[in-house]
Amino acid sequence: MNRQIGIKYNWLQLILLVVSLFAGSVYAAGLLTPSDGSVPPLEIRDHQVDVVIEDGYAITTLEQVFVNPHDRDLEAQYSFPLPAHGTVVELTVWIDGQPVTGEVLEREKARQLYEEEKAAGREAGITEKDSYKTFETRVSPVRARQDTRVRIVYLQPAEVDTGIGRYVYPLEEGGVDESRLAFWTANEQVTGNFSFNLRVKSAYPIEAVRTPNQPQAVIQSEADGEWTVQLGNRMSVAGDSPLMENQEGLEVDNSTPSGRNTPVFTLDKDLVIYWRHQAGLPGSVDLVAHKTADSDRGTFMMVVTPGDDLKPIHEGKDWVFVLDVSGSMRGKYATLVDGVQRALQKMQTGDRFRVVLFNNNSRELTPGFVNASPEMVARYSQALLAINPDNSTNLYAGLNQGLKALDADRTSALVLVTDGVANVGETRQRNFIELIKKKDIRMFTFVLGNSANRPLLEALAKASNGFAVNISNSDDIVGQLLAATSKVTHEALHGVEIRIDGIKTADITPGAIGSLYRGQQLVIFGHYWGEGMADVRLTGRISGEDKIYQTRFAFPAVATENPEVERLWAYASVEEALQEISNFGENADLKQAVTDLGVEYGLVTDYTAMVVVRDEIFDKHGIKRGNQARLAAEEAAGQQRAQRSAVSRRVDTQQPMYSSNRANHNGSGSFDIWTLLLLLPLAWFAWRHPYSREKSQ
Amino acid sequence: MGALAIAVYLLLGPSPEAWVFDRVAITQGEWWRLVTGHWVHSDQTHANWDITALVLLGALFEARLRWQLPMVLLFASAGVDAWLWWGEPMLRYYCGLSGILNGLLVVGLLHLWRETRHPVVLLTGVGAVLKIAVEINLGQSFLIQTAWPGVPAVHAAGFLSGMVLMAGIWIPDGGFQWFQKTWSARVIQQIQPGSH
Repeated sequence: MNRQIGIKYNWLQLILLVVSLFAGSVYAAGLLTPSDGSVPPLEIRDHQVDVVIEDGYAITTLEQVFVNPHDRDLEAQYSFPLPAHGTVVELTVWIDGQPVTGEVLEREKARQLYEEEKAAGREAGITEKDSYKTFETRVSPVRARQDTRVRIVYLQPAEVDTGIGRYVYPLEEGGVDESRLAFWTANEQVTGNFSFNLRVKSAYPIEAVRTPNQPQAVIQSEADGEWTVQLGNRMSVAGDSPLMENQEGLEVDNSTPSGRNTPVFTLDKDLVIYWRHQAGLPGSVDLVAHKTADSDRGTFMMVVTPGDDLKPIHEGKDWVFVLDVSGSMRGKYATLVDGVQRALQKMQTGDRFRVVLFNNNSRELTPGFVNASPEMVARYSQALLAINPDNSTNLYAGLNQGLKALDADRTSALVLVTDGVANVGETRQRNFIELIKKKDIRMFTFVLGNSANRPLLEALAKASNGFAVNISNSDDIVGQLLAATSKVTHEALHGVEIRIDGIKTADITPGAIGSLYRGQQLVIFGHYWGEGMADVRLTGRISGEDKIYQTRFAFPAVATENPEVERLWAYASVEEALQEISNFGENADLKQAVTDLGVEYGLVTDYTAMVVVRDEIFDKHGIKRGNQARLAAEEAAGQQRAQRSAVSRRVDTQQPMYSSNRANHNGSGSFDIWTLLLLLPLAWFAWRHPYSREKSQ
Repeated sequence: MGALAIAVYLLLGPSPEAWVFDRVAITQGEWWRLVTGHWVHSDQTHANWDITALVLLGALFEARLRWQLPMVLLFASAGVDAWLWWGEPMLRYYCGLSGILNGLLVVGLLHLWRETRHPVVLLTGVGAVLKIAVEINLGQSFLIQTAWPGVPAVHAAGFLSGMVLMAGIWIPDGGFQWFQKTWSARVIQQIQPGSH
């Protein structure tokens, strides 16, 4: 009888899990309409995405057509999740058939101008940032029974870890903002043409490109280190083949509301693309700079890819898993459980673990630390499956409980898995930082979904000399886990500092680097003056021993191929300033600094917004077209880059900073000359004694 | 088989994405990589050495093993895969023939030993074991740089797979059967009441 109840209970849990997965899938990028039905919904007819990843950063261009099938003019409001470390640099709205690009103003001024134009019935658009969650674009009016074309461009540094690059086109909204979900309904269906084209180009050879959740994507290796990924609902692979419809993995629905014979694409799942660099590449330093001939000041992005000289750690560790089981985790809970189960299975002899759960409050799943034996791992893996996420997120309570009862004689690590929106109990970032700094423990944060409070979670990881990993529901969870596991099972370079001598530099960001784990790249932005050779020293400690890595290379007098570097530097500086604001509260100086950077470099930030109005309105208000000029320079540079092969940006070839190759997850079995020499006497012997079946029998 | 390995390299090039042992892809159902991963190579050097060894071992043992040769390679594939999966949990990608060729080498040597009892065979076996031991101790392959770094333990895994295969199935009038006849008989005697 008990067994029957147990079986039923397991089935119930399974059903609840499946239901919760579906419950989570309604949150997506899309056109927002008030849920009360006061305004009729618009349609997204076309959604075309072009991504170029080259020279250490990604440029994502999204062009959309909104359709108003109704008899009155309406406002379109498009929302999409914030890309990791990404900032919008262009909003273009087609007015009278001509594209008009936006300019960045202080947020309130931009809103005011937009509202004035909207009230006057003139064409206008605005893009704003909703803290760490979403970018919101409003366009008004979309004329009755007409359409409106809009282009949004954003920049972000490219992410390469342990030889594997990762790009996420974020579409899945986290569902963490309940009031917002109650007010808005999102139309995430593309009724016309959906296309996604990605081009990745690198002088470091790329061996393979993979799209884990889109098996129908067409992936091609072009000449000279370039790979392309194509995806779409009207895609023709050979150029003349029929439309690819209803294939596995592509969310298509032929019963379109408009009755067109084109499959509908739903903007509810992230698109994740990985590219794998060739193994055996050396540790390296790359420099991408921008400096015009008439300017004494240049901007640089330096990417340090360390050689693999971090040794494995074999001593037993204590692991504290602090897991978010709040309601917003429903759509991600299966990913969480899968990841934790796999992590538990990878534990070594001598490891112990604890599991702390939190939603409104916190509680322990384990009775203190338990040995990571197969029985315990199986028991608590099963127990995790039986949890049904609900209620709010008291992250502070979870962390506080996780940090209790640590054994001072053993090395401890805390693994926090959350969608990261602390909305109950203590929510001030400063207090979180103080809490984590009280204990000698490394914190590794797994940030699930696109709406997480990444700034808070990254700050927490950094404060404890740990690291944060972003995970999408569309990710290869095993691959992400492998990368993270290889970090925590190897030594790390702590207290990392970089020093540049021989040339004047300033405005370096990040100001404090912290730690570098196995496979991680270090990306540094800054300004430099003049030109010439510089000595670059990277210092830190591995297991208490001082390490120095150094090289010498030239900063260029003129470099005009990558004007985007200026904006990347500016946004990295903005993010640092926003971190300070989160830690210590808003102050006028920091707010002004963010605003100035946003306006000067054309960036949408927490204090700035990008607005589009008719050209004559820009003139009337005396708004300089700085962003228009910047975009023209970037477009020209982009066209120039597109014409040529990938260019090596490595600068330490003469004096390599590292003697070892980069970390990777590859291995091979290979014979060599010794094996063949070993076989030669045998070959001679076999030749002298030929095989005879009869004799053998 | 040598022609097949050469054709695979010429047609697909180094480390073809759909063929290599990829732990993540295997967990997602792409199980064929457990076999194909052994037949692709990370670069020209890697392919040259492994395919040369395949041709040489094939020439030495094909006549003796005949249809059993592909069985040996499959069994050794399973052994090497098992090692990669559980013994090298941090390794995501793998390719190369040498692991399973070590399985073929040991099976061929044992056949040859049964047939000839010649010291050259014994010395070759001892040499192979010593080489594997030194490689494992050094943590890398001898005098060879391939695009994907060497994993010496797979040679041991292949070698042991071959030993297991021979011990379990292929030692007529010895090995497994000898164990059954002698030790198992003694055990049965001991557990039977009144056997003392």
